[in-house]
Amino acid sequence: MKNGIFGIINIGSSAIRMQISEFKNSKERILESIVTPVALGLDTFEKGYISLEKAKETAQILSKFAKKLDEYKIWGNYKAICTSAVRDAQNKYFFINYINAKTQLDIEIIEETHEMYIKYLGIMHDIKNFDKLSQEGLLLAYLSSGSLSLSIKAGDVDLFNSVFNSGSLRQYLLFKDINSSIRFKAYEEQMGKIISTLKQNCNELSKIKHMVGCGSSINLLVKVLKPKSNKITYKALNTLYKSIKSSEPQAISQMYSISLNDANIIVPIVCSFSYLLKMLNLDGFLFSNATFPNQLMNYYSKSFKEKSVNKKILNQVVAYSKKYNNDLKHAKKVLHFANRLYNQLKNIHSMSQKEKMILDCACVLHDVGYYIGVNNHHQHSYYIAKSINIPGIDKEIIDYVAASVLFHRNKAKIESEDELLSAPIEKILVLKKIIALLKIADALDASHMQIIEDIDIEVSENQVKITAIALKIPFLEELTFKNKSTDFLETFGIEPKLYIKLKHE
Amino acid sequence: MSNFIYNNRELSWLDFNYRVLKQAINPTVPLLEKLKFVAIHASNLDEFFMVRVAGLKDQVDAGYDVADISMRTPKQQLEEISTKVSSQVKTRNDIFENHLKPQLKSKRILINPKEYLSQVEEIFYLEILPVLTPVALNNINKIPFIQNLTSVFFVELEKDSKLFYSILIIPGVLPKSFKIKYKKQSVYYTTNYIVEKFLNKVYTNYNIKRYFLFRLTRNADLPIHQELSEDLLEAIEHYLDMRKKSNVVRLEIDREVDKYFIDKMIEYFDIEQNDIYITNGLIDFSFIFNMQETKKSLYYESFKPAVPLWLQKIEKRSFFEVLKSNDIFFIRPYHDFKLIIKFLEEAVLDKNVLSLKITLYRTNDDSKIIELLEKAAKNGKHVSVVIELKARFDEEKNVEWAKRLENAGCIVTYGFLDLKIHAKCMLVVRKEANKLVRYTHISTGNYNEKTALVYTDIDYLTKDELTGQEIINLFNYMMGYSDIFEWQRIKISPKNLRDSIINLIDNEIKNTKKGKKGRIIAKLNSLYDKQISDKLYEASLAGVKIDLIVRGLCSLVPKVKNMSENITVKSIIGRFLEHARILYFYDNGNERMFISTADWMVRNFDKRIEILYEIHNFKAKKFLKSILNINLSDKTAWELVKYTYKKPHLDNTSIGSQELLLKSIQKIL
Repeated sequence: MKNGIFGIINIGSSAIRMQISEFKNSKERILESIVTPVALGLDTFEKGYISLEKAKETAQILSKFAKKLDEYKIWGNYKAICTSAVRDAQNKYFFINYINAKTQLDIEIIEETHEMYIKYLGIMHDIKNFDKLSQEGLLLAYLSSGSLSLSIKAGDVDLFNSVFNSGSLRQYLLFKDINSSIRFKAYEEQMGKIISTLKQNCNELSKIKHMVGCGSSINLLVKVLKPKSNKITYKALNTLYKSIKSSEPQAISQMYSISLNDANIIVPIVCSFSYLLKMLNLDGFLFSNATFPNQLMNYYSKSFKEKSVNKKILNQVVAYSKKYNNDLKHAKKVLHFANRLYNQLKNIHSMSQKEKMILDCACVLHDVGYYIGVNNHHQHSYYIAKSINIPGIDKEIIDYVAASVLFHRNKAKIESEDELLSAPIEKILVLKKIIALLKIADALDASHMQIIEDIDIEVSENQVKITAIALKIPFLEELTFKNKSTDFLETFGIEPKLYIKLKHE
Repeated sequence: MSNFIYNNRELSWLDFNYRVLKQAINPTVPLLEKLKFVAIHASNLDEFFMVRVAGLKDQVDAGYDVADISMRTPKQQLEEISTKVSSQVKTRNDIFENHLKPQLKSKRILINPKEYLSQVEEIFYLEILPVLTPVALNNINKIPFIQNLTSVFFVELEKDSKLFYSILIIPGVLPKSFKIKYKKQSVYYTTNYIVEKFLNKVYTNYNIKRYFLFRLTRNADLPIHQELSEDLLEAIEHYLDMRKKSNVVRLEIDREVDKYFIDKMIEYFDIEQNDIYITNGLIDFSFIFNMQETKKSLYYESFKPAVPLWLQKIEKRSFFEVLKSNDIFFIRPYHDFKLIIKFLEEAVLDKNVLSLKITLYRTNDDSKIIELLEKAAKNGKHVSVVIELKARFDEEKNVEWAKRLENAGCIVTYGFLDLKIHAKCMLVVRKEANKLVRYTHISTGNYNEKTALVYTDIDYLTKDELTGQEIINLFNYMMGYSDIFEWQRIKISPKNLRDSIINLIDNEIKNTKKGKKGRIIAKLNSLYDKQISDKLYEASLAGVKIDLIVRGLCSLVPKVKNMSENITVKSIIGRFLEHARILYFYDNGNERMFISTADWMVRNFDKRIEILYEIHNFKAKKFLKSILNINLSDKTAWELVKYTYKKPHLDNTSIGSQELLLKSIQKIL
C-alpha cells in the first residue's frame, strides 16, 4: 500500500457516502466520513428506474463531493462505486452518464459478487478468529437496503453464494400496500422462500456453526438493541420482533427514537436475521459494523490482503465444477501442464498474475460442459462458466474464463464471433494467449488418461521444445497437439514442438 | 416544577439597558464615555422598539394572547414596557440635564446653550434652511410618509386669524449636530435645536402659535425583524403576510402637548396612547457618537492589547512550530486579536498549507481577514468560507465582500435559511511529513478586527486531532454535505448542545445528592430558556452552588427561598462588551470547562448553529478559571436578587474586573 490520500464515494440505496483516508506506513487515518441520505433505492425498487429528480439530487450532492477531491487533490486517487440501486435501474447508463456530465466523476457499477467479496474481506479483517469460524462452518449474511447476500463457508470452500433482491427497503416497498398489522407475514413468506432455495442448493447446512451479519441494516439493529458486545442474540431479536412485527411504523419510531424511514425497514431486518438464525438453530450472530465505504477504501487502497487469494478462488472454482461431475483428474493435469508452460515461457507470453488466474480457471472448467452433452460440449462449458458466482471473481474475469473455455476447441474460432471482433485488440490478444496455452495443455491430456506424466520445456530461437514424459505412447495427445498448436504459433510467433520420452526407457 | 418563576424577557432586557444607562453616573467612567452610555441606551431602545415591541404588537394584532413563562400576555408585556420605558426616559433626561451637562460645562463643553445661538445663525441659513421643506397639512394634503427615526416638527400657525398646520421634516442628509469653538469652549448644537430656535425664519409669513418636535419609530423590515424576534413571530407566522409593513410602534414627543395634538397623532399614525412617550428633553441622542474632544482624560485610557508573555518569548517561531507542543489561547481585547490574523497570514503564505475553512458572521470594512482569504485562494489554496448573511443590519456589506471572495476563487456557502450560523471557527490543513495536520481556531467572538477591541472573547488555537476532525464535520454540516455526524468533544446547536448542558447540570445534581460537592459557574450574555432555568432551579434545590455571570437578560430568578437560594446572578457592564461564554462544572473534582458561542437561550439552542467546546489543556483551564474568579469577585458588578438588580456601591477608586484584567493580564497569562 502506497502512502497517500484516497477517496471513496459509495452511491447506495438509501445514502451517498464519502470517505477520505490518509495512509501512512500501512496505517489508515480517516480524514473525512460523510453520509448524505438520498433514497435512490425508493425509485429503483419501486419504479424500476431512477427519476430525473433523484438523478439531479444525486448530481448536486456529488458535485459537492467532487469539491472534496479538489480540496485534497485526489482526482487521480478515488473510486466512485454504485451498488444495487443503480445496478438494478433500467436507466443506469443514463444515470452514470448524467452524473459524469454534471460532476466529471467516473462512476462504476460494482458487480454483486464483487460487492460480496469486498464485504467478505472487510468482515474477515473485522471479526476476530474469522478463519477459525470459517473452517468450522459460517454463514455470512449481508443485509443492505437493496439486497440480502448469503455466503456459506466451510473449510476452504464456499458451499453457497447468492445475492437475493430482498434488501430491507426493497422488501418494505414490495409489501408496503399491505396493512402494517399483517405485513410481517409477507416478509416471513419471503424469507421462507429464500431459506427453501438455500436448502435446495446447499445440503450441508447442518455444518454451519456460526453466523456473521453485516451491511447497513446492522447499524439500525445496533441502535435499537444496543448490544453490549458484537453479538446479537436470537432471544433479543425475537423479543424485538414480537414487539414490532404488527406495530404501526409511527409507534415503532416513537418507541425506539428512530426515524420513520428506519421504522419502516426495521421489521424486515429483524425478520430476516431471526429467520436465518432459526434455520441454523443458532443462539445469536456476530456482527461487523464496518461501513461499506470503509470496506471499499481498504479494498481499493489494497490494505486488505487475502492470503493466497488465487489459490482460494481456484479451490472455489474446483468446488463449483464438481457440481457438474467434472473430470477432475483431467482438469488437474491440464492445470499442471498450463502452469509449467506459464512458468517456463514467461519471456514469451508476458502475462500478468490476473491472466494466470483466468488460465487456471479455464483449465478447471473447459470440459464441464460434458455434463450437459458430449456434442458441442465447449458451448455447454461456456455457459456453465458464465454462470459462476464466486465472490472475488469479477465479471470481467468470468467473461475471459468463459470465452477461453468456448475457444479451447478448434471448432470455435474467435474470428467467427461478431461480439469479439469488435472488442479492443488488447483484450483479444490476452484471450488468444490464454487460449494458446490452454489448448496445448489440454492437448497434452487429450485422452483424459494422464498418459503424459510431466513435461520439460526448452526455448530456443525458433522453437519451443516440449518433451513429454509419458507412460506409454500418447497417440491421441500427439495428434491433438498437432491440431491445437497452431494457435500458439500464430499468437507467439514461435512454433511449439512435442517430443515424447517414454518413462521406461 | 410548575411553581418555578421566571423573569420576563423584555422587562429583563430593559433592566439591562438601564444598567447601561447607569454607567453614565458611574464615577469611574470618564465624562465623554458617560455621555456615550446615554447615547447607547437611546439607540438600544430604538432597536428594542423596532424589533421586540414591534413583535409583541404583531402578536396583539393577530389576537395572540397566550402568556409567556413569566405569565404575562403580549398586551400585559406592552403595558409594563411602556411604564418602564417612560420611567427610564425620565431618568435619562435627569442624568443628561442635571448630571452630565453641568459636568461638561465645567470642562468647557456645552450642548445647546441659549447664549451662543447667534454663532450658528449662518449655519442655519447656509446649511440647514436650503434643505428644509415645510409641508402644509389640510384635507387635501394628508400627512406624508415619515421615515423611521426621523425628527419632525409639528407646527400650528396663524395668519389672518386663521389656523394652519404644518410639519417640517429634518432631512436625514443633515448632520445631527454642529460643533463650534467659541471662547475656548467646545459648543455643540443639535440640528433639531437650531431649527427650533430659527423656526420663525422657516415660516416667515406666519405667526407660530404652538409647535413640538416628534420622532417616529417603525417596525423594522421583516428579515431583520424576524432575526431578532423569531420567538415572537413563530406563534403567529400565518398572520405575518397580512401584516402592515413599517407600522409605527412608538412616537416620542419632546414636550407636554394638548390632548388635541395627541389625538391628531393617534389618528395620523394609527397608534395608541401607550405608544406615545413624552421625553421632556432631547428625542435624539445619536449626535453624541460624533462628539470629539482632544482632551485624553475625557475618554477611557488607551490600551495596547498584549501578547501573552510566553508567546513573546517565542514570537519569532512559526505558529505551526509553537502549536506542535502548545495550544494557544487568550482573551480579547486584553490580548491581541492580531495574533489570529498573524496565524492566518502565516497559513496563507505557507506553501504546505492546502486548505482553509472559516465562518464569517460579521466582519469589518477593510478587513485584513477578507484580504488574506482572497490572497490564499488566488495562491491556489482551497478556501471555503461559510457566511451568515442574516447578521442583522449588515446584509448589504456582507453581500459585497462575499462577492469579492467568490471572485477570488473561494468556495462561498451562505448557510441555512432557517438556522443562523453563529459558530466561529477556522480550520487550516497543512501537509507535514506526508501527513495532513489540522489546525483549528475556535472563538466565542467574530472575525472582526474592530469589535475585537471592544468585545471580550476567548480565542483558542490547537492542532488536536479530534478537534480538527469534529470541526471538519461541522464545516461539512454547515456547507450542506450532511447532518449525520457523531460529536464527542464538540457539541453543536441545534443537535445536542442543549442536551449536553442539561446532562452536565444533571451530573452536578447527581453528585450533590450523593453528598459530594456540586458547583456550576456560567458566564453568558443572556439566559432565557425555561428548560435550562428549571434545571438550574432543580440543581439549586439539590444543593449545587451556582454562580451565573449574565451580562444581559435573564429569565432565572435567583435567591428565592425553596427555589433558587443557591444561585447568584451577576451582571458586568463596562467599557468592553462582555461577550465570552465560559462554563465550569465541578464534576466531582474533574473540573470540566468549556467555551461556547451559545447563550442559554431558546434561539441559541434551537435556531442557530453554535459550538460548545470542551477545554482539556490544564493551563487553559486554569486561565479560564481565573477569568471566572475575577468576574465573580467584581465589586462593581450588578447583582440580581429576585426580580431586581442591586446597584453596586461605587466611588472613584472602585476597580472593576475589566480594569483589573487590563492592568494584570500579563500576570494571569
